[in-house]
Amino acid sequence: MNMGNIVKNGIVKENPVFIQFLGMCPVLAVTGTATNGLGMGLATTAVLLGSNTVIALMKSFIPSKIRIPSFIVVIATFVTMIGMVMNAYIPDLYNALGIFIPLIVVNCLILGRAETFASKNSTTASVVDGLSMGLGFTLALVVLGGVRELFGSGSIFGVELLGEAYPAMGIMVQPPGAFLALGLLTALFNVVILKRIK
Amino acid sequence: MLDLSVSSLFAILVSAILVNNFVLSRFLGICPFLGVSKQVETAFGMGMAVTFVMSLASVITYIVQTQILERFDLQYMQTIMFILVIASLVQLVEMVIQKTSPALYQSLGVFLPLITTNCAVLGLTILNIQENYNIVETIVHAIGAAVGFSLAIVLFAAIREKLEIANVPQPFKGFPIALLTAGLMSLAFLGFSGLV
Amino acid sequence: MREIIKLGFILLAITSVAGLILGGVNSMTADIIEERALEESMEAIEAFFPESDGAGFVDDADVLDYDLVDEVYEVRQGDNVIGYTIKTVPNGYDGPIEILTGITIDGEITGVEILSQTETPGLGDRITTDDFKEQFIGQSSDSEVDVDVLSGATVSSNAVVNGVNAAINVFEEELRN
Repeated sequence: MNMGNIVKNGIVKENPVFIQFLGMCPVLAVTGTATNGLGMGLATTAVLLGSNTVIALMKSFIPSKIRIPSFIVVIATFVTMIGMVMNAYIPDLYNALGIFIPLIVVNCLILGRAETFASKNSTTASVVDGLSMGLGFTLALVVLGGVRELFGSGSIFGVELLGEAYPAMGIMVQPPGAFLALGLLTALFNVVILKRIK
Repeated sequence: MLDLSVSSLFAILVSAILVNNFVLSRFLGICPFLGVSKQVETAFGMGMAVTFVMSLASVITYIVQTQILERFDLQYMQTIMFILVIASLVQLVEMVIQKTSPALYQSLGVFLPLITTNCAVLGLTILNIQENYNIVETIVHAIGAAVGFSLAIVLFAAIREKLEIANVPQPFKGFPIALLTAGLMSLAFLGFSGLV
Repeated sequence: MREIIKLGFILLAITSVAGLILGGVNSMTADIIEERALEESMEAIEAFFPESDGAGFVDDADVLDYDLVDEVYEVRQGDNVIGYTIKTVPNGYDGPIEILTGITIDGEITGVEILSQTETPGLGDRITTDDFKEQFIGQSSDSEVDVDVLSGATVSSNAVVNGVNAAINVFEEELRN
């Protein structure tokens, strides 16, 4: 498989969030700020990269009957490891993401890639796939987090942009704003990007 | 020492159903919420299946946490243990229902495999531990979470059935309009904050 | 049957390897996590009591049994105890909030610090602003604290107030003499 295609698939054509609608829980839950979105995106990318690599390496040793539980154990191990490292070195982000760090385990994107890609393709391809799907996911989270933070608090990555005079739309950083912003962004993605690809 | 005051249990219940609704406020279980909500009937089936697994999983993970993980200082194995408990529980429930009640299996069977990766179940079991609930509070919290999940998904399905026949602008067809609808529901549920 | 046992063993082997790896990572990171938490507390204590020259844990089960109370530090200057810093963990709008409250031996609040919180960005997370935290300074531990709640963040503000009141309560009942 062509590496360029894998990258393009992960980031645009099969974007995990805007096209496949995978892993919606963290997408909606942690995107109150661009920083949290970036942190969650990178944590998920790290887990995806790790699990894709290990599963591609182990695929011939795992009997197909217990393949799903084995994948889950591998994924859960990486999630716990990333959680510990984050807690030790970036505790603020670790606390901000809270329960959604252990919940990376049940992000359907990761198990989905293990089942449909890593268990069928070479290790190199799986590494590239993990990275590009992860980056596509991260990109979507940062865009959504940025939009919500900009309208909801008047800043991006914590940097004040719109000034005191801007009446912050608090609703954008609250739960309803997550649904509304993602709905509008997906519609925009449908109009602009998909038209250009076709 | 069990704190069994009825008012605190009631607060946990109402909070889990309305104020901190698992789907609309905590964003747990979004995948089935968006995926299995095109018809009220299937949404109801999913709600029942989740209720069943949530209640069982809460009790078992509570025992695993207090009797195994805390006793042997293995808290860092929490995520792995809990997800394995949930995955095997789902398998077991599936087999038992298939043998004992083919009718129930017909209506719930298709949803069961989806529940393993439903983050509402794993999220619930982790929250139980995080909030330091005792066994009674854990059960009440599980019931509240399950009712809250079912309520949200059934209401949402009822709205989507109506949306099917509405004239939606092309770019909004499908997921975008579903997300906007969910946003409005979430807005309505925001009105419950401060209730408890 | 034999196949089931074999499959079980393979899964057990995978889980054991996972457990070993995690045990290793845990022992590497656990100390760092603990040290960092302690460091944050120490920084806050120094800000609460600039004249202090040491602090230590109060390891008294009666004290730590109080509602919401998580850790208690005794703040010293030379051989004298000049105050206490109490860590309480009330529940906010969206998860637990870790709060440190500094109280002098005479019952005056010298400062409140939020160690960790997951409140709504732009609303509830304003409890970490100086404007909000400084309201507590100078209040007496004789009665519950009185502060202006943040508009749009009533639940988060009240959670902090509950945390500080819990600290005052344990100070008055157990630590003040």
